[in-house]
Amino acid sequence: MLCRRLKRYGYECRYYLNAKDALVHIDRLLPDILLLDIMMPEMDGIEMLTLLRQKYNALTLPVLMVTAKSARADVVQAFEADANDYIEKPIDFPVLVARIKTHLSRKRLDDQLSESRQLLEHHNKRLASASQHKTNFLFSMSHELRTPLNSILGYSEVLFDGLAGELNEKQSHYCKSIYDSGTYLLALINDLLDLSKIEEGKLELFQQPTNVEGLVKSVEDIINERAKNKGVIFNIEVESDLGNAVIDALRTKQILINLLSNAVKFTEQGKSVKLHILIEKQKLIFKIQDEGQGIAEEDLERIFLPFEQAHSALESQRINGTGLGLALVKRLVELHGGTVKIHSKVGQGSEFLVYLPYYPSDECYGDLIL
Amino acid sequence: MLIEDDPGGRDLLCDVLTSQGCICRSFESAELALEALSHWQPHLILMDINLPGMDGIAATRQIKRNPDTSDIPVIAMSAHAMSQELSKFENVGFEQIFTKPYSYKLVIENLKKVLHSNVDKH
Repeated sequence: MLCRRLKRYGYECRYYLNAKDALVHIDRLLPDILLLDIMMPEMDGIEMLTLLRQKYNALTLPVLMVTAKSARADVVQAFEADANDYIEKPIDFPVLVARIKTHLSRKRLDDQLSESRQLLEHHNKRLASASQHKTNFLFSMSHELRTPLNSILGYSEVLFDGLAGELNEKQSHYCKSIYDSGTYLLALINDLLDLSKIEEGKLELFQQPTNVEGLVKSVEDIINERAKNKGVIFNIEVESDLGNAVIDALRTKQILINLLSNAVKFTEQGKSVKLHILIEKQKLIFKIQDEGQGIAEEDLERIFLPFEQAHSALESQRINGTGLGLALVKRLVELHGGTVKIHSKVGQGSEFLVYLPYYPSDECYGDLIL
Repeated sequence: MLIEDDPGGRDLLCDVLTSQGCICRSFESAELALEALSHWQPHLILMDINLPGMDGIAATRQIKRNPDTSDIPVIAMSAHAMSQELSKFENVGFEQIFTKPYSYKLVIENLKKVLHSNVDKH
């Protein structure tokens, strides 16, 4: 009778006369909602519900209990057995339909939710594996690109230095171009690789006791060469005995080279660049001062973003850089738990301040890697 | 002794070393180099890390285990520039590590240092 009326409302409906028959078919049918009478021969409704709940929770199979009139104990028991709702006998049909509708629409929402959660989990897995692939790809690309660059840079350097015989002016100029472009390409590969590693949180520091003066010396050799080529005066001022500090030697070197080559790049011939190193309040401080053109206030915030360079710098001089150097410096300093500050005035030059936490050490291992 | 599988890098370094008065023999794999070491004692070994077959780290471990060759200084050359990668090179017994691409001037300068300090030891 009930089933027929429900069918008239457009619901597909099956009925069973006892719990045993219903349990046989329920796994196959998987109904959207179950109407379950408490009073049944042999197994009663509560018992059947308890069995069902071992397999289906209230979200996967909503159960609407049918209770006798004013049977309050039954209602409480039904909810304790995790029924979703109840309706009293004699059944008020419009109320029943309203309840069924409510539970079905809730179930539909739940189904959609779990479907989208599954989809999200699936996408997450795919993203994680894609990200891993990307990292592996970048890593092997970097290696594959470096090997031929080794030949390009090596042979052009050897040729330029006349080790394979004297070059005329034009040949020498061409060689220098090959070398400079190769160096630029290398810088680009390095910066891109590092930056993407940092963005993914995959760049880990390799911190060990490092002789700070030795580190500064190796930076000095590189910057001296660049400063000399451009006619810029380069000075280093070391305050007190620096000793050994626990830092990532390679990354700290990278920070200093990036900031100092920038300083040299933006400083005109005859003017000077200064590196000042001191230890103050548990901080290892590097001050990089230049007498370049300075950075306009509106550019100060942007210069640490990837692929941004100060407009003033780009317009007034044709200076090429990867646009990644400062972004990298900032992130590498932050990985060390330090900070970078900048003071600059247009026309008077800039000062970059790098503060790294200072952990002194009696040992030193960091001078093996060149 | 130079072990390097990239022909460009191999010829270049060998030429540069020869121009500096060194006698350079190059090998394209660790296996060939190890075989040559059984009847030849170089003053120095330049070892690429990423080699086909046995890699430079395994080869160097073998060289350092063998009492006949353990005194020969080994310098690693690697295109892996990441710090955490370089940390793998610890405790292998390398005298020094060059990251590729390297400046040949830097290579010569450091080879001289290593060779001189090795002469001093004896």
